Amino acid sequence: MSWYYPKGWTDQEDGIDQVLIHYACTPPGQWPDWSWGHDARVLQDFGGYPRQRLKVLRMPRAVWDMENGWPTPEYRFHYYFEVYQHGNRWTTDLFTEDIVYRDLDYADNNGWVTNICIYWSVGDWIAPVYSPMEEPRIPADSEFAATSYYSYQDKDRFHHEKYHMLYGLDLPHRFHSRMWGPRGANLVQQYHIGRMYPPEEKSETWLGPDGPSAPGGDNCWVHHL
Amino acid sequence: MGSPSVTAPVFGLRKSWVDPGPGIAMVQVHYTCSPTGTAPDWTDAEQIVLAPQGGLRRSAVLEVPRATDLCLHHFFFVVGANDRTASAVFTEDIVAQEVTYEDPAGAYTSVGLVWSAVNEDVPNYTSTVMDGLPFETTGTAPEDGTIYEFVRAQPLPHIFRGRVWGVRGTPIRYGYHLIRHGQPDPDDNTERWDDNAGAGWTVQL
Repeated sequence: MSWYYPKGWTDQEDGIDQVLIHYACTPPGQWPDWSWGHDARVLQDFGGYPRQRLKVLRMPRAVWDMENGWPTPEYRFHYYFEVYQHGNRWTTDLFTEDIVYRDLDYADNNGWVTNICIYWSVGDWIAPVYSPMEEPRIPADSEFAATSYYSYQDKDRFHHEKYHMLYGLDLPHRFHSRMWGPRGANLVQQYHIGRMYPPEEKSETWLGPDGPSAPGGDNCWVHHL
Repeated sequence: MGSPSVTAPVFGLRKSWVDPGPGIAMVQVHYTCSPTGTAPDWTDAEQIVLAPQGGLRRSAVLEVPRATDLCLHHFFFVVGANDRTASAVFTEDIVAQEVTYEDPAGAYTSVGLVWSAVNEDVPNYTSTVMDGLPFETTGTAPEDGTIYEFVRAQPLPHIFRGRVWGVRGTPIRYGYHLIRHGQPDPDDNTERWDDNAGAGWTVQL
C-alpha cells in the first residue's frame, strides 16, 4: 500500500495552460538521473482566482537502494514543476525533500480494541491515509493480519478469530503502524478504533486527543516531522 | 518489499461513490489489477480514502497501469455510524485506443494528447509518435520536440499516433498539445493546447 502526498500550484500570472509535476525518489544522499526515467503528472485545474491546481501523488513506503541492495523507508523526493504559458514552457527550480517516517504505537491496556488503524494526512486532511495497525505478536503471515481484513470475505469469522488471538496475548496490547511525510512538515492524525467482537459489544469510533469524534477535523494529534 | 520494483507508466482513473444517506463516516476504495481472465490477488492491493466532493458524492483517483489485457478490480469499504460493509468486487477490462493527429502542412514537430474519462477531470498525458520516426517512443510527459530536421524530411501529411486508456465501453475526452520546436528561427518556435474550443474530442473505448 502507498501513502498520498498532495502537491499544489497557484498560478501567479495569466496565460498558463497546463502545469506538470516531474518527480523521482532516490535513497538518502542520492540524486535522480532524470534522463533514465521519472514520473510526471498533469495537475488538475480547480479554477478560481488565482487559479489553483493540485495533484495527489501516490508515494512509495520504501525505495530500493541499489548501492546497498535493500529497501529504505526514508528517502529523498525530488520534484519540479513544468509550466506551459503563452506558447512556451518553463520549469521551476528543483526541490528536494527528505521523506521520513514516524512510528506510532497504541497501547490498549484493557484489551478492548480488536481493530485499529491510523487515520493520518500530510499537512491537513486533503489526502488522508488509512494505515492498519497490528500487534507485533500476531504473526505477519497470519490469515488474520490487519492488512488482510478488507479483502477477507467472512468478516464475522475474521472478527471472531482476531478477537481470540488477541485475547490470548498478555496485556497491554501494543498496536503498531507507520506514517510518512517530508521532514519539517506536520502530519495530522487520529486513530480509528473498533471492538468488532463479540457482536453485542460491537462499537467503533475515530479518536483524537479530545476523545471520540468524526474522521478529520481539529480533534487530531499533530506530529512535526 | 523484497526486490526493486519497476514502475510501469500509469494513468489516473477516478472512482466515485454516492452515500446512500447520511451517517457514512468514511469510504475507501481498494483496488488491484490482474491479467485478463485471472482472479485478483489482494495481497498487495492499493487503498485510498475517497474525498468528499460535495453533497453525498465522494471520489478518489486510482493509478492504473497503461497496459492492455488487464483487468481492474475494486471494491468499496464503507464505515457507517453503526456498521462497516464491503461492496461487491467490480471487475473491469482496461483497454487502449489509438488516437491520431494529422498535420497536413508539417506545422508541428511533436504532438501530445491530454485526456481523461469524460466528466471525470483527471488529466493524463501521452506523447505521440510520428510515422516515419522509428526512434520515437510514446511517453507520459511532453517531448521537447526539437527534431525539426527529422520531421521536415518526412512526406506530408505527418501522422502522429498515441494511445489513451480506460475502462472498456467508456468514452474518453481528449485534446492536443501541438509543439513546434527546433525551428531555424527560434522565434518560430511555439506550442499550444487545442481542446476544440473547450469541447475536446471523444473516443469510445
